[in-house]
Amino acid sequence: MMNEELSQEILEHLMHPKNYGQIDPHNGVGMGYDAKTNEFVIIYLHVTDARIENIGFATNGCQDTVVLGSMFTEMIKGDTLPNAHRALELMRAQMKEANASQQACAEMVLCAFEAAQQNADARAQGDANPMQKNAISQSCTLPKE
Amino acid sequence: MDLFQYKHEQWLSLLFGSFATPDAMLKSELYEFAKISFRHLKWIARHYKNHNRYFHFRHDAIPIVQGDTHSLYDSTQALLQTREIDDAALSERIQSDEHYMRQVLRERCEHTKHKHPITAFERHMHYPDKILERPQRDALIRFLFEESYKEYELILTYFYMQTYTDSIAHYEVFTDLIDESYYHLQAFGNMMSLMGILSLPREVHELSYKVGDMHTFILKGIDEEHVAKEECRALADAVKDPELSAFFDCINAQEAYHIELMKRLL
Repeated sequence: MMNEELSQEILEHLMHPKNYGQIDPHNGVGMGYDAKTNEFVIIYLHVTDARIENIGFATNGCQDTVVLGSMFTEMIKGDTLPNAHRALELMRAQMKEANASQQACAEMVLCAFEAAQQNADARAQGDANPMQKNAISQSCTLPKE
Repeated sequence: MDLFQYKHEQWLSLLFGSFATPDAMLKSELYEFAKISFRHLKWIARHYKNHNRYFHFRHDAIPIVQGDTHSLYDSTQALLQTREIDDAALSERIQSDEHYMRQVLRERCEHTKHKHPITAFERHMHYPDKILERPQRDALIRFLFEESYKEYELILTYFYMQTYTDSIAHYEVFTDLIDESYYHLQAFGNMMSLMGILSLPREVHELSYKVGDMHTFILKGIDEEHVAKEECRALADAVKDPELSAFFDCINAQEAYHIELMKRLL
């Protein structure tokens, strides 16, 4: 995605990331993080009757992460959870063609979404955990030779 | 709105207003006013700390000025609305500065007949007077977005650490690091403005600046400086323009010295 020439669409996400920042109210918060680099994505979810009423994200990651977070949240906002999962799997499949760094960026976004949902489910069961944190399996830092 | 948040937004508005304007005099004035506003922010943070009050770097959407420099004068003045703080001397100082800034901007607006159009947000992606191939241009744009956010994040992180450190030696290092990042942010912001891609940095999450383990943070920060150095060097090679290459080589050398400064924090 970000290897492509910079389009006006990507520039828009860079200049004005969609759904950026904490939302209130929210009933699920999840973090996807890269333990090696300390980069993270946090997703705030407000779900009602299996529909994503609102969603926000925050990150200290690179611009690829910002663009992917902006695009993904925009894609699933207002949609049902099953559809959001289909979008997640589609994005995961598409990112297999990307380089390791971009895969890690995308994985942080997707991991954060899954964690936010887990947190929402746990809260619904009475768990007081304010945020579910899930580490990504592959860092964007390549191992030193 | 909380005074610290209000001052943070005012600082950003003045600073990015200075990047946005093509009018050299207004650019210089707004930049100096932003520096004054940043000092206010620092003093307010210290006041909060001394009174065991919490501050954060959240901010609301800051309107981006479109149109011309007169709109910029108007919107900037609107953000200079003095608020009280329970420290008489500090309150008086801030009120006096803000009164002066409002006065200067009002007079400039009244006496400046020529309205300069603001093109900082028009997305033309062209660097004036430079011939850049598309891959070079895209590499430059990606670098500017990446690094302008990082410099802003570093300013806030060092600011936070500086507020809470008890070490004079550390305080001095943080002052240097903030000054350095401030210069980089200014340079990158003005370049983004020239290319029509200026935007306010996204909000910095508190997990970025509330650092639990200083030693690990500094070690990772040094790693990041090495990466930034490499990116500067690669960009200096890629842009194939003597002026831009010299600039990025200079930034590369500055990053090298940041590593030395950061080592003093270990």
